[in-house]
Amino acid sequence: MELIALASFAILVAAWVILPLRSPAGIEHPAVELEEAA
Amino acid sequence: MQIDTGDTAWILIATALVMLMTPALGFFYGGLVGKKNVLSTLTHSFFILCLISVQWVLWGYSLSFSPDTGAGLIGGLGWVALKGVGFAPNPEYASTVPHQAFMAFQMMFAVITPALITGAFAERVSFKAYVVFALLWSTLVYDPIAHWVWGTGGWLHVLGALDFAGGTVVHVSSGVSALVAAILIGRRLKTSEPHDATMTVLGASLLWFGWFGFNAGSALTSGGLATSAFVVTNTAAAMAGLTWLTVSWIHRGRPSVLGMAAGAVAGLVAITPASGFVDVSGSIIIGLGAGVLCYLAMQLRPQLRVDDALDVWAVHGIGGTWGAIATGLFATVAINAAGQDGLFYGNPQQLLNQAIAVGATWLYAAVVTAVIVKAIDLTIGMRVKETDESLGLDASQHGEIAYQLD
Repeated sequence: MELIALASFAILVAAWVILPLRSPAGIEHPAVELEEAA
Repeated sequence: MQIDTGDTAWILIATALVMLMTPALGFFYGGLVGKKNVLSTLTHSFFILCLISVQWVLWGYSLSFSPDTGAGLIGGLGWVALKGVGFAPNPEYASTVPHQAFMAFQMMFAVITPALITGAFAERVSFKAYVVFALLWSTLVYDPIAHWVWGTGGWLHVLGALDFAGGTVVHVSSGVSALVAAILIGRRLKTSEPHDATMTVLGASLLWFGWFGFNAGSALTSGGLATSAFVVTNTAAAMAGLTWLTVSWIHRGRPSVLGMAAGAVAGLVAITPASGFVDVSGSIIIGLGAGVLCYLAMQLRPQLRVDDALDVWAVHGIGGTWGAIATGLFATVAINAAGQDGLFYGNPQQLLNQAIAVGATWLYAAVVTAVIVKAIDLTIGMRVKETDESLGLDASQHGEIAYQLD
């Protein structure tokens, strides 16, 4: 049980390091639009 | 029986913590709906706090916890209006706190359970229908199931099913009922995007805070068992929040903030039945399972074509089911001598008992909820008119709007 718990957490931590962040293309933030307009 | 002032203080504080969860749920749900349905969603939770607080003292507590009427299905009417429910402890339930303190603690569970269902039919149900639904559902679904599991002589209690703080009584019952209600009521005219993610994260945070009362309070004493329940509750919530965030990151390409909040709630749901019976390693595995299973269940929604608007079934139905089954896997008498060992500690029978409790709750909640919804729909109607739905429930049902912004 302890080993499974430790391994589960380790896998999550490894995933955060490895996983890429997808490009934010397609998301429009109203605040950015306002700043650009100003 | 001697009253323990430390235990009594803890139970009263825990009662207040659980009370906070219902308005917190309103904020959690309120952020997820569109701008024109915020107040109606908040009202669903706040109203039910008022409604069930009165229902519970009048007859709900009696049906749930007074001596069994004979078949293990329902309590009697001997404690109507709290007749006989005084300040001396009731040794059947909590031997060191006043009976009324135990009653008040249980009241807050009865309050939040029907409120959970409201996420399934958000943005389209009339307030009048909701009032009738909440009262009937609490009386005909919640009270009997609470008696089965926690009441003296309740058949699942006698069977030996373990449910420390309401995995079946609160979460499976509400989650399954939510699914049935969403199917019968039908889809919204138009779905909406979450209008305020910050409100939802605030709601999830307050739910987490209140959940310490929900689970650690269910020890009904202020000692080691409450501490253990507190620790595993926090651990499972954290692990499920991390897991959901990671799974959504793998699936959608970015770590979702709303996903992490929903994941933490799923972890809290899943640890609820197990919180007085499992150790911290068990809670990590339960949190991991909740994060994965509830996320996958949520992905089924488009395929099922059911408009469970705020994913009550995925989080509470599936999370509660996983938690109840996991209790049969990971429970150990090393944590709670009054409990049972689970499968991984050499007792496969406990897993079977848990499965029976889950199956009975699914079946009963689904059938009775279907009857209630159909009956209301055929009489006063469940849904608002299309024009009122388009206008939004805040204006059409309450004559008020949430935000006066230019």
